[in-house]
Amino acid sequence: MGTYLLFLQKSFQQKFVYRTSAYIYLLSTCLRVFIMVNVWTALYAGRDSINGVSLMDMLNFIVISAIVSALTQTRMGDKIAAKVVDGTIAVDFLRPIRFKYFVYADQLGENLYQVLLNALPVCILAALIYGFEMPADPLMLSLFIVCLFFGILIIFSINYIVGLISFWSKAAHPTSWFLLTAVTLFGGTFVPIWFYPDILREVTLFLPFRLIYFEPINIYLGRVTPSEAMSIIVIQLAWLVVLWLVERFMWSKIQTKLTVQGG
Amino acid sequence: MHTFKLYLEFIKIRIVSHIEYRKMFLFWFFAQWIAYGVQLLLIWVMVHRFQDIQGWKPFEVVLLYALSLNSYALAGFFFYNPCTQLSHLVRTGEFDEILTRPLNPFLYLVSREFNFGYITHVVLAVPVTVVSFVMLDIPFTFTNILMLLLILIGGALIQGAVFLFTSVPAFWIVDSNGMQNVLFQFRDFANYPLSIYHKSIQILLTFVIPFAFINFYPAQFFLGKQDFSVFHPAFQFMTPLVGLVMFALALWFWHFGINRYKSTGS
Repeated sequence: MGTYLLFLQKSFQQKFVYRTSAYIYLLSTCLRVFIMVNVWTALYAGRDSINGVSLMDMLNFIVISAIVSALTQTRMGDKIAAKVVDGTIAVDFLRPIRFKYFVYADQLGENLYQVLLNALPVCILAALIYGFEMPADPLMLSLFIVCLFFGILIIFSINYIVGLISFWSKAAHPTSWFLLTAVTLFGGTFVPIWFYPDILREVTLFLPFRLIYFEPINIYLGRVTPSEAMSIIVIQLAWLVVLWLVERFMWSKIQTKLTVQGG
Repeated sequence: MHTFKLYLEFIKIRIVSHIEYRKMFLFWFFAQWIAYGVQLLLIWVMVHRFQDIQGWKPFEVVLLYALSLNSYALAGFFFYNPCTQLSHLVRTGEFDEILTRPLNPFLYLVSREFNFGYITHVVLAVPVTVVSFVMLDIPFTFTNILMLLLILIGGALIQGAVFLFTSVPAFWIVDSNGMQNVLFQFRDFANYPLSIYHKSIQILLTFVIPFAFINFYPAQFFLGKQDFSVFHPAFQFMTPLVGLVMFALALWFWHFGINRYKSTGS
């Protein structure tokens, strides 16, 4: 455990080296939030609520989603593929550590950095300008944190599996583009699923993507009852089991078939 | 004329090398096409649910997006690679090699670094433009098609000028890629009608970074809209002019930069 915390800390510190890129990220997050606030305010002009969602709900959604998206971003699929392609994966395999936990720790360090130095400042700024509501009920807040934690595990598992595919293809694939697109479309990261047409909304119910981002925020905003929130968390756990089985299966195949090209 | 053929030859080589790995090319093509397609779909879904945004109907907003994407792709073909790689070329000293060629360094760079990948954007944005025209009952008259072409060229010149403006600081060993990213995030403003923003943003996107001329003003020509707020309705015709002026200024800035360029010596 301590080893992996150290990896987490290292990847967190590594981000500190690139000071200018941090300011630029900050600026671009500000712009994104600012544009979305303008767009939704204009959409709501003269309308009280649409599908039971008020403008205030929507502004809360934008602010909280800055933090959630910082926590749920992943590049691990691309990183694993790059390591497979250039052969450095062999070095990782020689280390006396669990590769998966190493990859997770590395990503989490990066994400925590993004939250602290990027999302949180923007959120505080936006909350001061546009207003922001915390969940009144501490129960809902704790359910949100649990749901968000499992959401992070789900996207990490999916992206890890996507990275493992490169052991077969031996190439950097645009798979992360597909993944990002799937999360945008079925996860409600750009337009919340509240506003989806019925067919699209029903499709999202059969996929794990809405559990990463949309459902935690839904709980945060108190748009579900505590018992509904509990069942969402159960569904998350079920998905995690499925993803874990897939990943174990792939991993067992990889250990017997790994070939390193050059390096 | 002879050298012009040479530049075309450079572009041809780039395209051939790009599609050499056919499977990989198609895979990337498809991935990007779907990604932009989904974004367009969701913008439509969003505006459709609310019926309109500041009086702009779903397909009118889709048209704005398509115009912006089209002109961005036209500019991206030529300027994306040279402009994002300029600071790298300067740092490694590769740019010196370019200066020693008996060719115009600008045209040489633009044709040598041609990015065929932007074909994806075109293959999405052109059909979406046509569909929006049909859905919005805009007739395909000679005037409209001519206007559309002029708008796309003018828009591409504006986008190209922004690429150039943000890359020139690389001559002074300033890493400008970050600034470039922020400026290109400003393009996101143009995915929605300009009139939803505060006046100061409208002025910024009209006179300083004139992205509003890429789609917002000229689209109103087709749509017969009068959503100009404090600006003059004549702005709908000014895209080609703004494009030419911006691009001329950007070229001047490029030459200004290249004249003051001192090699890194590496």
